[in-house]
Amino acid sequence: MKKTHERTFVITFLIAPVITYSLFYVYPFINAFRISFYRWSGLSPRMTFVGLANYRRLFTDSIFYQTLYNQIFLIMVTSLITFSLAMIFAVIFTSKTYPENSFLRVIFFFPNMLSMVVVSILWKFIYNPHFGLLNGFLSLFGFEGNTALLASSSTVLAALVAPQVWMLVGFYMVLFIASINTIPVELYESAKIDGAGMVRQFISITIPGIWYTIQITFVFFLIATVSNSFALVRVTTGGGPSRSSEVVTTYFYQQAFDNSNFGYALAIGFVVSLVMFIFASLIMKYTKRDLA
Amino acid sequence: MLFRKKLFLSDVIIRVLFFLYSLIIILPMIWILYTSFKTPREFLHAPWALPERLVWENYYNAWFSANIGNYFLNSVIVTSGMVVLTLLLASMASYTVSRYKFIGSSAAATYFMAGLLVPKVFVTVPLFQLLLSMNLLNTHIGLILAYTGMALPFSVFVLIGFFQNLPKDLESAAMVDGASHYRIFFSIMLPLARPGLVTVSIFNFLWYWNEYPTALTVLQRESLKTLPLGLVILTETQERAAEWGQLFAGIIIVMIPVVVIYILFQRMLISGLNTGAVKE
Repeated sequence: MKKTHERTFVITFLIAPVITYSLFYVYPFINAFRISFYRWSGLSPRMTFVGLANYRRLFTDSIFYQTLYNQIFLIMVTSLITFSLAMIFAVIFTSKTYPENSFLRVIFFFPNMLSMVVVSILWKFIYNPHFGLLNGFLSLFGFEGNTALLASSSTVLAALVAPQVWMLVGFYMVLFIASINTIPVELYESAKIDGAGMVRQFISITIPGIWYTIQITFVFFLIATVSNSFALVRVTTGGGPSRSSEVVTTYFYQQAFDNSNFGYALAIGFVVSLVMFIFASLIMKYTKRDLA
Repeated sequence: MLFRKKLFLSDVIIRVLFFLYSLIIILPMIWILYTSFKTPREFLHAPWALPERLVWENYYNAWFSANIGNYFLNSVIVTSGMVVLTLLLASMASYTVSRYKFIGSSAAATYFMAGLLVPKVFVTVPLFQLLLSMNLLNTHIGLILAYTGMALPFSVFVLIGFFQNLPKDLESAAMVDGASHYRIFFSIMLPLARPGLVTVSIFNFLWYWNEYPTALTVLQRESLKTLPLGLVILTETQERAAEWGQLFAGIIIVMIPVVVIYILFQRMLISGLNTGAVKE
């Protein structure tokens, strides 16, 4: 009697969340895989089965490789700078007690509250060659000349790193601070007695102590920056000049809605999400060992 | 003595650098704020200068002529709808999964959390097809359901942590008093998990208030669009019409609710983040 009550309860409570999540989030990904074997314009009811044609196209599409390269470049450079800065900030915040610390922490975290759209519009203005903040700032130091960083194919990708770093450093800093605070203080004290300096302490105590957090946050960082890249590129450059800042996420979207190639778009989306899902699960599975 | 002085110097350098970094965040914000009060002519002639007088019309025009008022209302409808629905569904799921032992309880938890490992932006195109077939394209309810689906993994992930940490024998004690499973959930567990519910709701509010790719896909009719979509439209039209004041006023309007929430809940946000991501 008691058990059946419990079973009814569990089922009634799980059914609505599971259906909502499965229908509106999981099913689209699975359906994407199915539609990727068709040629479909999106709005018309006619779908033509084309087998592996979309995938064959994917592996020979030089634009796809270009966008993949741009995406990976953005991820690598952005994560390297963001994680280094966040780590340096976190170490300083946890080892020094300046009176302005808590105020600075609130300021540093703030950009993460903004929409990627707002951040992108803001940085478009910062980079504006005519009245942008950056050129104005540089001219204070005598660097004249209106460099349009977003309009040149050689600088555009590097220029797109800054907005994401600006937005995300504070967020990861806060995570690292919390993680560093869980390391027992005695470890640092005995290291000091043994004569270990700041750098030595950082390498042998801090890094191993927060290794779990670094791995987990890296996975979330990876996934968040791929999603963010869509709004960032669309709003700042639209992928230009001549696709030099086009990323996989914008190319995928463009194939569907501008070129009416839903099947091909879904092949791109499916391959990239699957690769990222496997990569992320492997890291999570590997780090789970430490959890137990 | 010399050693002391050297330490002091490195402290000064660090503090100056930190101060400079904070300026990189604060200055653009202040610039947006005062530029929102300038006329287009002032903006073009002296983009850095303070406004000669405060042009409040920029806000009036942004709200009415540039439709920001309408976008704002749409954003309120969609965001509040998804926050409430996600809170309900996520607390139900995370409670059963974390406090009841049944076949598949841990598989269900893993199933929800797997959603965290895929970039959400790739759901847009297949979601378009799904909502089209369900006649939910260009509806707020369609976007609310889509947002709820993608917000569940994070929300369940955080709430499981909160429910797990509640005292072990609460249910059996209440059971002895004759309370049903439903009563226990609504009148004992939910109030106890309130900090978790608040944290999850604030994050969902902030993230989905700001969301762009899914809204772009689901809402194509102008009258239904949310603020981030409206801002992008405003950027495009203002560039041609050179009505910069309206654009900056629009950016400020988008940011106001976010800043209010941030000021009110900043401590909670920062500590709430840590419960999920840091090893206990």
